[in-house]
Amino acid sequence: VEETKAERDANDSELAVRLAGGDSAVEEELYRRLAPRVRLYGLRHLRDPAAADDLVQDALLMAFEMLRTGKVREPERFVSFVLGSCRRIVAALRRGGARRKRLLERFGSELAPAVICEAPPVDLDRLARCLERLPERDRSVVVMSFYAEAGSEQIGVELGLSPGNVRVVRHRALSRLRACLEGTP
Amino acid sequence: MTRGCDRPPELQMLADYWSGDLPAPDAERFEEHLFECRDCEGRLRDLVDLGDAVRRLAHEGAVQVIVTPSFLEKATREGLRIREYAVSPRDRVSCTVTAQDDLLISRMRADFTGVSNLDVRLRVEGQPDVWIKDVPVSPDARELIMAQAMPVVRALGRIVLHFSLVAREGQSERVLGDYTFDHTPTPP
Repeated sequence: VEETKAERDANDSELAVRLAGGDSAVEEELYRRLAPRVRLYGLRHLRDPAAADDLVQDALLMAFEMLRTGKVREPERFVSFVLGSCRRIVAALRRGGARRKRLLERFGSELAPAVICEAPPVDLDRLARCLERLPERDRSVVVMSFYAEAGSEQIGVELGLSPGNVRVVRHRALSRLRACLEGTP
Repeated sequence: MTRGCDRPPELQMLADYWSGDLPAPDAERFEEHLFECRDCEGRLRDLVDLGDAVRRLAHEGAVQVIVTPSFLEKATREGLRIREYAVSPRDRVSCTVTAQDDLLISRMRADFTGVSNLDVRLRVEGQPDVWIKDVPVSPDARELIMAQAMPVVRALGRIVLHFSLVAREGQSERVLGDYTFDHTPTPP
């Protein structure tokens, strides 16, 4: 128990240096910390939970293997090394993006179950009521942002708003949704 | 690893990052911080969870919302079954929704040129008018696309719904179109 507490108190760099030095006991803790960040990065850039999960596996397996075998020059900067690995993998996936897009257009509907595969930790009934309370414009911008995964420029063109206005409306709507979900006025 | 973030990002910055609206150098700087900061990971996670929940409700047609062609393209890619009724001004259309439909879409055609402020009026005989104020629409659009709230529509009995698109200019108003939907429920 004491060892686990010490691991939890250590920062990422310390854990990476220990793992590079052969202390394999810290590997699980370091993986547990980095995996959610890599997955968020993957979701942001790949917009696909399954692809984000693959990125976690690919990036971290490779990075940990290199750390264990002494191929990471600065183990204390291992977190930056992982981010760099993520960027390289995503760039490579993007180069193959045209092919992926064609496949998605052809088989997208068959892949639909993977698009929404996790129960979100938000009360959906309550969120639906909160969305209904938003002004029409705010609700449209939020739905277009998260369902259509559109940026401010595209939303602006489609809804007749400036990109700056879309960003303001989106921020206001998200703040209202949060307050509504938390039960504050 | 930061123990309590000393430079927590604003919600707007997180939303801009997630939506791809942050300039690339700023996004890269934030990612470098994100990978070092457990607090900010949690903040972004909260936003992503909220976005996932919004996406799920939109996917289920849980709320009424004004949408655009890119919304419908996404719904089609996801394999949703979409029932659409496209109407021109003064049209009257018979409509329904079945258990197999995932989304019910009303496409009300009109000329929105010069329109800066648009309201939608819903009139049902024997009931007070319902106004949907300040509806977003591009002046270049040729139709207003409305995704109906499926739980509400499924609960409707036989009913006649009169929609009007009303452009407001100062104190004056101009009706762009009236549209009538004769709704009949489909037995399960």
